[in-house]
Amino acid sequence: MKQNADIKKPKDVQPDVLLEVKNLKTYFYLPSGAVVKAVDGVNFTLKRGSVLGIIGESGSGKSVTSRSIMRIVDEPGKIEDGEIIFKGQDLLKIPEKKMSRLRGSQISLIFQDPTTSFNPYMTIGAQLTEAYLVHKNASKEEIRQRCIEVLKLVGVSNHEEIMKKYPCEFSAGFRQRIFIAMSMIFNPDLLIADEPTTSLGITIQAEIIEALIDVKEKTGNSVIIITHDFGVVSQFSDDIFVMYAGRCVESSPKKQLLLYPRHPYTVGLIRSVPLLEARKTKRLKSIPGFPPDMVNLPKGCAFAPRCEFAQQKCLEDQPSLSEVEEGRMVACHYPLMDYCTSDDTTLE
Amino acid sequence: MSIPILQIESLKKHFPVRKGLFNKQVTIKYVVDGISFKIENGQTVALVGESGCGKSVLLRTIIGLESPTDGNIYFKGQRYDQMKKQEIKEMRRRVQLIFQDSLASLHPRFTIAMSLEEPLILNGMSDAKKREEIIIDTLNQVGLDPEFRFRYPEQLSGGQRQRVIIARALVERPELILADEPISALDVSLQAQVLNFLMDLQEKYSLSMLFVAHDLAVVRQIAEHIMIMYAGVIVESAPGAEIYINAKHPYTKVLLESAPSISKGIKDEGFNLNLKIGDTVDPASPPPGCLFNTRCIYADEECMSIRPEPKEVAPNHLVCCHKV
Amino acid sequence: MKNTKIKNALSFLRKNPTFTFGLIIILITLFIALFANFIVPFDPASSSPKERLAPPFWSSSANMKHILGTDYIGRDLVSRLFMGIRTSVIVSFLAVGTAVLIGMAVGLASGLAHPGLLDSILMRITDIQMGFPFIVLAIIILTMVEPTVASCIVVLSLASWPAYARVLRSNVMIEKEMDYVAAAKAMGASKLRIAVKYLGRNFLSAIIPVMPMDIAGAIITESLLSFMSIGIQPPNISLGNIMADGRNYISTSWWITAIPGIVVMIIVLALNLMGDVLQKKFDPKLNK
Repeated sequence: MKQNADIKKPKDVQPDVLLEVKNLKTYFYLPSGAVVKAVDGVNFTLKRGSVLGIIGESGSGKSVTSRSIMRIVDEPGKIEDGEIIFKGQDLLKIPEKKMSRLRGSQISLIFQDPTTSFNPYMTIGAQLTEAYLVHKNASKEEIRQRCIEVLKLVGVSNHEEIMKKYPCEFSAGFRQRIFIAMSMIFNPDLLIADEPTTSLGITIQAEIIEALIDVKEKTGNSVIIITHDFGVVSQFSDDIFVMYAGRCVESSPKKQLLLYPRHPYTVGLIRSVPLLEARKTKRLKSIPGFPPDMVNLPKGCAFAPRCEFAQQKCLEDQPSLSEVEEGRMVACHYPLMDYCTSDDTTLE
Repeated sequence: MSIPILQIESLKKHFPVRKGLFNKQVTIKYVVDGISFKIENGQTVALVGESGCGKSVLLRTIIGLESPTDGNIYFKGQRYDQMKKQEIKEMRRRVQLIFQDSLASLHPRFTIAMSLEEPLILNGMSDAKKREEIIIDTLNQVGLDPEFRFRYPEQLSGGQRQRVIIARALVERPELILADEPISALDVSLQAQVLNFLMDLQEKYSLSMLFVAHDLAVVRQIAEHIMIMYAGVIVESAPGAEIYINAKHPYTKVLLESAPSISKGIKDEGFNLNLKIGDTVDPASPPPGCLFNTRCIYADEECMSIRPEPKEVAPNHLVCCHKV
Repeated sequence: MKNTKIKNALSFLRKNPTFTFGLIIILITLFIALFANFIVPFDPASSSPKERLAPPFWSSSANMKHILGTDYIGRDLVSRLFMGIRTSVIVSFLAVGTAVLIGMAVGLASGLAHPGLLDSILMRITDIQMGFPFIVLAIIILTMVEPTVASCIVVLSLASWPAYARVLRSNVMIEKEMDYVAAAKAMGASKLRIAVKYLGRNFLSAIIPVMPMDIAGAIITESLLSFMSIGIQPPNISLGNIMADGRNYISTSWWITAIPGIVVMIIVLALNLMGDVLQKKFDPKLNK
C-alpha cells in the first residue's frame, strides 16, 4: 500500500533538531570469526538546514554510518546498538515497512557511482516517474510537473530534451546531477551524499557541489556529506565530523576546525593533504604508518601507533569524546590546544 | 646549455575510428594534437589535466607504447625514430613509467620479486643472485620489508603496492621518471608520504620527472614547472609558483577555483567557476578555433575560428589564448 | 614458506569433505592405472575356458579365485578392470591434455590477434567444431582412420578444445589491455615473452575448474566409443570394450557389462565432486 508521502513545502514550521544519532554501533561478523567494529559508538546531532561533513579515510566507518542511518547495512553487518532519532522517531525501532516509506521520500541517499545508480534501459523521464510512483500515486501531469521542478532545482532547464534520453547519453557528472534531482522529488528533509564526487573530475566536482549548495538554499534541507576530501568539506559544510577506525575523533564547527584543529589526526590531515595553499616547507608533513587494520585494532587509542604526540596513556586507554571548548568535541588524552593551521600553511 | 633530458616537438597522436564490416575509417580522434615542451636534467615538470584530455596517451607515446602520428621526441638529444636498437634498449632502461593503479600494473600471479626482477632480466642480468641483491636493496630504499618480495600484490595494502611500483621503476637506476597520477588512488594520509618519498628520491638520485596529475593542489610541492593540458593541447605553461599567483588562461583559472582549499572554506566563499555549462570536448569532433571555446565565458569570434598560438607573457610563462 | 602452503592445503581438504572424498577415489584410480601391470592377480589376456562366466563373489556359484567373476572366455574381470582403468585414464588425460594444448594455442593466437582477420578465422573454425555433433564426427573419423589408442586420443580432444579456446581467448583479450602488460611492454618485453610468461600464467585458474569435468566427459565418451567397438580395439583393454564383451550375455552374466559401467560411474562422480568444489573456489565473484 502506498502511503501518501506528501511533498513538503520548503521551510515549513518545524523543531530545530532533525536527526540525533546516539551511540551507534554497527559491527561486521566475518566468516573467519573476527568482528570488525566498523562503527563503534558514534554520536552527532544535525539541525534543520545545516550541513554536516563526515570526513574519514578507508576503514573509518563513514559509509557504514550513512548506511546504518538508512538501515541498508548488508550482511554480515549488523546494527548492534544505538538510537537514530529522526524527527522524533527512533529509526532503529520502526518496522521495515515504515522505514522503506521514509527512504527516498524523507531521507534520500546519493551514491558515489552515477554509472550504476541508473537503469541503462529506461529513459530519464521514465526513471524519474518510477521514483515518484514508488511512494505516491499521481496523475501523469502532476508527475511531469514535479520532474520539471526538480530538474530546474539542479540547474537543468532543457527538461523536455533530457527526459527523453537514456543515461548513457550523458557524462558521469551530468548523471550525478540528475541523480540529485531524482533524490529531491519528495523534498526530503535529509539528503545523505556518500562520496558524491569521488569518481568525478575536479571541475565536475565543483559543479556538483555548487548544485548541492543551490538545492540546499532553495529547499532548506539538511545534508550529510561523506567524503575523504578536505577540500569538499571545507567548501560545503557547517560542521565537520572526523572519523577514524570507526569512531569520532573530532567534531566541531567548520571554521574552528579548519583554523584550529585539536586532534592529532585532524592536524595530521590538514598538514599533509595536498591543498591549494602553499606550505611553509617544501615537504608535506605526512602522517607516518598505515591506516588501521580493522580486524586487529590496538588497545587504547586507535591512532596512537601513528601519533607523534602519543604517550603511555594513549596506548592503554581509549579516549572518549569530551568537550574541550564550547561546541567542540575531541577524543584525545592530549589534544593540541595550541595548534593553528597557519603554523604550517600560508592561509590568505 | 646542457641538452634537455626530454624534448617533445609538436607531438600528435591521432586514432582512426573504424566502423562497419570492412573497418572503414569513419573519423579521426585527435587525442594529442600538437604538444611541445622540454624537461631539463634534474627538473620536475607537472602536467595537469582532467581525464579525457589525452595525458595518458601522451605518456604512452613518450615511453614508446604508441607511435606518434606526427612530431618528434628526443631523449638526451637523440630522436626516437633515429635511434638504433642498442640505443632504444638503453633508453628503455633510463626512462621508467609509474602507473596510477598499483593493483592493475602488477601481474596478479607474479610474486613481488618476480615483478621487480623483470626489468633486470629484460636488460640482460642473468645472475639470479645479483638480481635478488638489487631487489632487497631497492625494497629497503622504498621503506618496505624485503620479506614482502615473496608476497603477491593482493596481499599488500594500496600504499605498499604503490611503493612496489616505485621500486620497480628504480631497480634500473633511471634518469627520467614518468609518473601517471601516482597518488590519486591512495588514501589521503598516504598521499603525502608517497609525494615526500618521490621528492626525496629526486634529490638523492638527481632524477628528472614528468608528473601527471588531475588537479593543481597535488603538484604544488613537487613541481618546478607546470603545464596545463586541455583536449589534447597545452593551454598554459609556467614556473611552479607563478601559476598559482599569475594564471592567465581561463581554464587554468577554473582549475584553481575547483582545487581543494581551506582558505575558501574559512572565508565561506563558494566556487566561482566561470564556466559555461556544457560537456568536455569529444576528441573525434573538436570545435574549430580554440578548443576551450565551448566552455569559455570570454570566447568571441576570433576564439571560434582561429586556434591560438603560444604567447610569452612572462619569462618561461606561455599561454595559448587570444584574450591575453 | 612451504609449511604454510602444506598447512593451507590440508585445511582446504578438511573443510571440503566432498572434494577430499573425490580426491581419494581419484588417487586410488591413478594408483591402479600406474601400477596395473604389477597388481593384476591374473594375466588379463589369459583365457581359461573352464572358468568362463563365473559370477562375482556375492553369488553362490562364485569361483573365489576370481573375485569379480570372469568373462565369456574365462578371463579374470578384476585384472581386466585394472587394465581397463589404466587405458581409460591414459586416454582421457591425454585427450584433455591435447585439447588444452590446442585450445591454448588457438585461444592465445586468437586473443592476441583480436580484432583482426586471424581472430575471425580461428573463431569461425572453433564455432564450426563446437556446432558439429561430436558423436557423428567421432564415428565418421574412426571408421575412416584405424582406431588406435592414439587416434582415439586425437578424436576425443576434438570434443573439448573449442571450449578451452574460447575461455582462454576472452581471458587474453581482457588481460592484454591491463596495465601490467603495458608496463612490461614499456620495459621492453618482447611479444613472445608477454604471451608466454604474462598471459600464459592466467590460464591455469581459468582451466583448472573445468578440467575434472572434462576428463569425466572424456572417460564416458571413450567408454561409449569402445562399447560401440569403434574406440579402443582388442587386444587393448578399456572399460568400454569390457562392457562390449559382455553385450551378448547381459541377461545371464550381467556383471561383465555392469561392473565396468559402475566403475566408470564412480570415477566420473569423484571427478565431478572435485570439479564442483574447484569451480566454487575459482569463481572470483563468489570468493569476495
